Amino acid sequence: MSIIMRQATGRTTSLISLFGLVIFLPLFIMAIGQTVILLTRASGKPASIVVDTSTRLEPIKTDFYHAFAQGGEEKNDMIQSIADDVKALRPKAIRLDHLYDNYQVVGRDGGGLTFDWTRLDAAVNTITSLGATPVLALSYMPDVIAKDGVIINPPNDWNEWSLVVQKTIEHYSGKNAKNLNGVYYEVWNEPDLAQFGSWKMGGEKNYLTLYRHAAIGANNATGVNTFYLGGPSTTGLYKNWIIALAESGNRLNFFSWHSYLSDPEQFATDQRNIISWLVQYPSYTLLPKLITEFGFTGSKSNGYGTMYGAAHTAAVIRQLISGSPTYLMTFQLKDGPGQADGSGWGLITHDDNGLKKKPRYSVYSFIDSMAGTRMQLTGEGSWVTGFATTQNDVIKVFLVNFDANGSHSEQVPVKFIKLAPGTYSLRERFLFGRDTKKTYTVEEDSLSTDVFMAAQSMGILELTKQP
Amino acid sequence: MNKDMKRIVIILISLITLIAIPASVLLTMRSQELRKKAAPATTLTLTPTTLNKAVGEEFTLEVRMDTAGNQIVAVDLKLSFDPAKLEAEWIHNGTMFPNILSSGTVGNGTISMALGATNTTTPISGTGTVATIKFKALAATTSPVAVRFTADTFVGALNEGSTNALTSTIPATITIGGAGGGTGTGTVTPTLASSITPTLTPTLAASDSASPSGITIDSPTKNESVATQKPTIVGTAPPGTTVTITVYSDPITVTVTADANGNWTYTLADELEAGPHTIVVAAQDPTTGQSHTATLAFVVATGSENGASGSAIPVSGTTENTILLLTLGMLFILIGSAVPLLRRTSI
Repeated sequence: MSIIMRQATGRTTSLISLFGLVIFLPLFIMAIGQTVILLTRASGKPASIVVDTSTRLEPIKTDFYHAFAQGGEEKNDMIQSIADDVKALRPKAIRLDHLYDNYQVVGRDGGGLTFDWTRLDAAVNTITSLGATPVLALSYMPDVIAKDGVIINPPNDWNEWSLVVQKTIEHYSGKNAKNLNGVYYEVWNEPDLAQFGSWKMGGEKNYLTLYRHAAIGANNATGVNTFYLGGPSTTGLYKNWIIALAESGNRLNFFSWHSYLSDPEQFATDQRNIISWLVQYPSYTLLPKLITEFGFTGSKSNGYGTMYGAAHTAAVIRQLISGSPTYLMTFQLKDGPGQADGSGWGLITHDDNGLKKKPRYSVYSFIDSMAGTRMQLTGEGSWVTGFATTQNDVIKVFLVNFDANGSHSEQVPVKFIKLAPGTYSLRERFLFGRDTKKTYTVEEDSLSTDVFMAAQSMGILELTKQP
Repeated sequence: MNKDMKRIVIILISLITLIAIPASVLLTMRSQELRKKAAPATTLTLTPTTLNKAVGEEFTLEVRMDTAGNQIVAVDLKLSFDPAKLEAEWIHNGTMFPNILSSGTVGNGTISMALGATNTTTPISGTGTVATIKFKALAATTSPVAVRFTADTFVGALNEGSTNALTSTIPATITIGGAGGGTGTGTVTPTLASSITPTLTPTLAASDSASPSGITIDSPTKNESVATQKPTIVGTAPPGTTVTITVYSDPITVTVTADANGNWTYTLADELEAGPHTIVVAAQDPTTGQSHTATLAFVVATGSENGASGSAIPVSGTTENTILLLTLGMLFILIGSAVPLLRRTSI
C-alpha cells in the first residue's frame, strides 16, 4: 500500500477512491447479503395445507420424543437440581454417559477390580424417581484397566472390560441388586469421534472388538431382569457401522446413533435408510432404534436458547410422527457451567444461571396436545410443515415454521375438506403467541382460512363442530 | 467288566457312530432339499389391476400381499408411475402391517413406505392389505399407464436370510379418458379386462442366483469378496435388451444394453463402501415382453472409514462467511484496479 501511495501524485485521485469505497462498499455488502438470502431461499415452496377430515390413519405416538440425554459436563448428578422440571416433561427415558470416568466406579485392589456405585447410583436413582428408564452409555474405559490409563484407549486386558460391563448390568438389572427392568446399555459414546477414541471398524481400536467384549460381559451377567445391549452410538447414522454390528453375531438388542442435523427432513430420511439397510437382515429389522442425542448442531449455539431451537425440535418431531424411532433423545436437559451466554445445549440453564427454562422446554407438552388419530394432511412446504389428528370430535392441526437459514415468515392457506355442514369454532393458539377463536359456517363441505406463521413459530388449530 | 465285554461295547459304539453320522447327514440334506422345494413365494399385487378413470378423478389402489407361507417381518415398498399422467396423493399402511417403520412418501413418480410386524416373534403370514395409495388422474392416455413395484421392493422373512422373499409382483394399469370419461367407480372395467392382461412381473429371484428366465449375473459371484471398490459387473440377458442394474443399498442404478451375444457389462463409476452389497438386475425381453430379474450378494473388501449414510447432507456456508469472503475479494479487486490507475496518474 505504501508503494501505491508513493506512486500517487494527485490527492484528488486518492480522495475520489476513498469516497467511492466509503459509498459503494456498504451498498455492495448489502447487495451481496440480499443475493445470498435470495439464492438460499428462492427455491423453497410455500405451504398450502389441506386436511382430509374423512381420513382416520394410525394413532400417533407421543412417547418417543419424551426422551432426554444429559451430558457429563459436571462430575455429579446434574439432574437432581432440576428434578421437578424434568418430571414435568414426562420423561420415558433418560440417558447418561461418562459412567466410568465421571462417577469413579471402578478401582483396583491388588490384582482384582473393585466397584463403588455410590455416585452413579445417585444419578440413576434420580432418573428412576422421575419415572424414566435409564439409558446408560458404557463409557469410557475405566482408567485402572485402560492402556496407559487413558480412558479412550482399549483395556490392557479385554476380560476386564467384559467384567466391568457384566458388573454394571448385574448392579442395575440384577434381581438382587437395583432390580431395574428394561435398562438400555449402550456400548460407548460417539466412538468415531477423535475426542472419544476415534474407534474404527478395524485395526487396534476396533469398535467391534470393544462391542464383542461388552456382549461377552452382558452374556455373563446372571440373575438379571430384561435388559438391552446395543450401539454403535456414532456421531451420525453410518451404514457400515450398522451393517457390521448386525453381521457381527454378537448380542444386539438395539441400534443407536446421534443426529445433529439442521434439516429436519434428514431425520425421516435416516429412518428410511436404516430400514432399507436392515430389511435384508430380518432378525434385526425390527430392533429398537434410538437416536440417543439430537439437535441442529453438535456445537454449542445460542440458537439452543431461542425459538430457533424450539422450532427445530418441533419440526423434527413432525418428521418422525409417523414411523418414529423408539426414542428421540433431546440433548440435553441442563446446561453445563460457564454458559451464561446462552450457548449451552440444555433445555434448562445451569444452576449458576438461575435454572431458567428455554423455549425448547415447552415444545414437548405443546405437541402432546395433538394426541389422537392421525388424519391425512397434504401441502406442506419447505418451511411450514405439520400434521393433523382428531380426538373427541376435535380436529387438530399442528403447524411449525422452521427456517434453518434465517427469518422466513409465511401466510399459510389451510383448508379442511369433507366436513359436515354446520357451525364450527376454530381456535388458533401459538406457543408463546396469540390465542384466538373464530366461528365459521360450513355450507358445502369445506372450510378455508389463512394462518400467519412468523419465523420459527409453531401453532395448533383446533376445529370443533358446534352443537 | 472283562476285556471281551469292553471290546464288544467299543465295537458297538463305533458301529452306532458309523451308522449315525451318514444317517444324520442324509436326513439333514433331505430336510434342506424339502425346504428348498417348498421355498415359499411371496407376491405383491396392486388391486384393482385395471382401471378406467377420467382426468381429474381420484382413486385408490390397494397393495395386497400373499405371503405364501413365508414368515414376513418387514416390507420395504417402492413403486413407480408416470408423473405426467398420475399424481400420488398419499400412501397409508393397511391392516396387515400395523407397524410403520418409515413414513410413507409420495414424490414425482415414486412412492415408498416401510412396514413391519410388531416384533419378530409374531411375524406376518397369510393374505391382506399392506397399504392403500390414493391417486389423481392428471392427463388423458392413449394407452394404459402402469403403477408398478420397482425392483428394489424388498420383503424380509424369517429363515430367508438376506434373500428377498418377494418373487413376483402384479402392477395396476390405468386408462385415463378425457374429463368425465371415466367410470369413476374404482372397480375393474370388464371391457378392459379382456384387452389388458395384467402381467405377472417377477420382481426378484428367490435365491442369490441367476433366475432361470435368461438374465444372469456372472461376475462377481455369489458372496464373492472383491478387492476393488469399483467392481465390474458382468452378465447375460436376451440380446438387445436394456438391463437395469441396481446396486444396494445406496442405491446406484444404471442401464446397459445386452450385445448381440446377450452379454452385458458395467464397471461402477463411483466407489462402493466396504462391506456387503446386493446387485439386482432387471430386463424385459423385447420379443416376449416378459420381465426377468436376478439378484446377487457380494462384499467389497476394501473401503474408506465411516461410510456416512446417504443422509449426510452437504454443509452449506453461512451468510456471514460468504459476505466476508466476497468483501475481501471485492477489496482485492478494488485495490488491483486502483494500482494501475494510480500508476497512470503518477506518469
